[in-house]
Amino acid sequence: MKISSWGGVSGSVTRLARPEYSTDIAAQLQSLATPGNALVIGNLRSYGDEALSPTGCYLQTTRCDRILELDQTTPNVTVECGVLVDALEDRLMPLGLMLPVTPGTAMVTVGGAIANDVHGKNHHCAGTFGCFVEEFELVRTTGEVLVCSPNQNSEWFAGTIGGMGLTGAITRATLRLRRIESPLLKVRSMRFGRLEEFFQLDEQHRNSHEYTVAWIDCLATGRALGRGIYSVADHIPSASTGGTLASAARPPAQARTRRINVPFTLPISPLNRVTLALMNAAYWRLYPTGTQYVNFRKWLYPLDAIGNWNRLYGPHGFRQFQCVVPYDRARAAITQMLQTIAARGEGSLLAVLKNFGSEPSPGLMSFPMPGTTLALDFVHRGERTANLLRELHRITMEAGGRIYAAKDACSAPEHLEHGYPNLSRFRPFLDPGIGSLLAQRLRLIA
Amino acid sequence: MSNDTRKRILIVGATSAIAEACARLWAQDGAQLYLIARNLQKLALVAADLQIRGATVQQAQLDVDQLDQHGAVVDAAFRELERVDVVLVAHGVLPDQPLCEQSVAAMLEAMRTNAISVVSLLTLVANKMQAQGSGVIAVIGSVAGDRGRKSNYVYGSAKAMVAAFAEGLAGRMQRSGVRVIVVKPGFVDTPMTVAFKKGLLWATPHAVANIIHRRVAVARSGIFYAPRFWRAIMVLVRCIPAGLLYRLNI
Repeated sequence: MKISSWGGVSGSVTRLARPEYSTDIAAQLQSLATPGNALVIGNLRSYGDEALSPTGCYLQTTRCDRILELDQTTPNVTVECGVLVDALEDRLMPLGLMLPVTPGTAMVTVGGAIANDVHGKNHHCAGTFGCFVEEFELVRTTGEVLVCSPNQNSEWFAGTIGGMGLTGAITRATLRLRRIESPLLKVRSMRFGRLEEFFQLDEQHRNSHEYTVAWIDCLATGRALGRGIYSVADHIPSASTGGTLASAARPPAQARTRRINVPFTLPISPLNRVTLALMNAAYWRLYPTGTQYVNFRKWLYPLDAIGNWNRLYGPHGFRQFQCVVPYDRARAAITQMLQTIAARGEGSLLAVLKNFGSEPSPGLMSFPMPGTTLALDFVHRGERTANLLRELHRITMEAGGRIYAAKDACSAPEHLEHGYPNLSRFRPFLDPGIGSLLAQRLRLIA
Repeated sequence: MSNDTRKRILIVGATSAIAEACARLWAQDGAQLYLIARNLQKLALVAADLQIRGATVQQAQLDVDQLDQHGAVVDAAFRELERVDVVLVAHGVLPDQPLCEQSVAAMLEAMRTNAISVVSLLTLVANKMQAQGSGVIAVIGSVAGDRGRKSNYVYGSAKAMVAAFAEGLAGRMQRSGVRVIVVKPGFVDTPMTVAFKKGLLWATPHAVANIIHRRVAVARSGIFYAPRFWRAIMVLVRCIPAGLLYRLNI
């Protein structure tokens, strides 16, 4: 049996524990961790080697997917760690409730969202996922059980949020919710012709809109370098424009059937320099600008509409790259990155640019910090791709930026040391029985 | 609340993966659930989740191996619910076949859990439903019960007993307005089978639950395979001559 991360990094499984109940996790983790380097995994949506165990011993939490308590007055929700954001939103939507921060896919577990302290298109005004975690229970391979919150075991709270799953297993968590009146977002999209215009547009709009994000055509060169589509979105105050809260939630029986699915991995990837350039140019020109009303799930999680979309990248999968660079260095660094990518003729379908806000992240190792973040993916072509990523890592480090662990498969230990000033404070929280290929690569563990 | 139209459902083995998946579908219909399981700590987690999904939930404890307690527990459930529309009997264990070959005690214990306790409960609830003149009984069999295979005949023969018993019971209940449904899942990705390598033939508990949910809502009495393609496979498996079956490593 093999296990594969979303980007296609794979390893074999020697032992797999899949507890059905969050209350069984502690015991199963302890027995699994005897040889060392066991790993707790969720829905396997991290892209690189974060979800791969050096010993092939895994504890998968996806069956611990219950909602244990829902307080509509606070409002907050207590869930088992393996519940998917998608399933949780099915329950919350009809009640006019929503998670305040979600990543670009709803197919992640709550445990995984905490372990990576994920962010969304509203980071500039809401902060990270961890900002809304009220409490969680952490079990360690040593047998310790710690209830963690900003007031209780707060150092473990900070170590585990964004802690890449290396501090223990999160068994259940309590999350603060927000209210929404309608499932619809009012979305406005604007075309921009070069990178500088992105910064100008964002300057104008970021303070007046809840969600902001830009797609960029990373194959455009010369004067068009960094051209793209800038979008802003806001929740609308009531359902008057159509679409009720109840109709936006799907019954579980239909959840998977209405989607397009990629049934198998394509033998060769249809994505190459020529097709990517054509698709990017067409997207830039044809994308409907102006104002529209869209269901928030459709807009926040566009790729969830295509099941197994990672298979489109062919048998070798793809590599993601996401960095954040401080504002004052962002223009120069991002320009340099885009030039590097274009010069090598590599490209990405999903290049995303966003300015983070200054809300501090609660985790010692949280990725978001004030600055501009760029996310890209590349068809994996072995050494060629590795060289390009090395170049991008170098530019990031020189600009004082950092790399996102959830998306990373090949950065070096020095990138972690330079990018994460709290690294030495984080090390004491590592669980001695837990390990990942990422932790080995970044020399977090031996 | 005796005249409301919400389905009243009794589930035995409510912490099992297939039972919980069924319960989630019924919770979405707004059902009133009476859940019975051995482990109350796990049952509490299941119950909390089902309530949030829309069900009204009551819980009771039963170790199905304690056959002498069946009567009291079933009585209590029928008393609490007043009328029971659906009973799902879903408990079971996958016995250690090699151990059961050497230890009669282990083999009989597996038989008690997978077969004897099931037919005991079926008899009790069938009589109650016969008295109320309505209801659906669903019980989980297995494709393993269709042939005795050397690799798994202890489990298989227990499930064969359940299926034959339920089929006979369905006949007996024919004129009472009570339906009896046997659902025979194929390979299901549950805790029972977590150590197995999974292939194309495997289904999720959710997929099996969808079939049970649908059959309980509309079907006549009978035996149903889940997913349905297992019916075709088992027609073929039943045709394998005994002499050949003995030599196959299945």
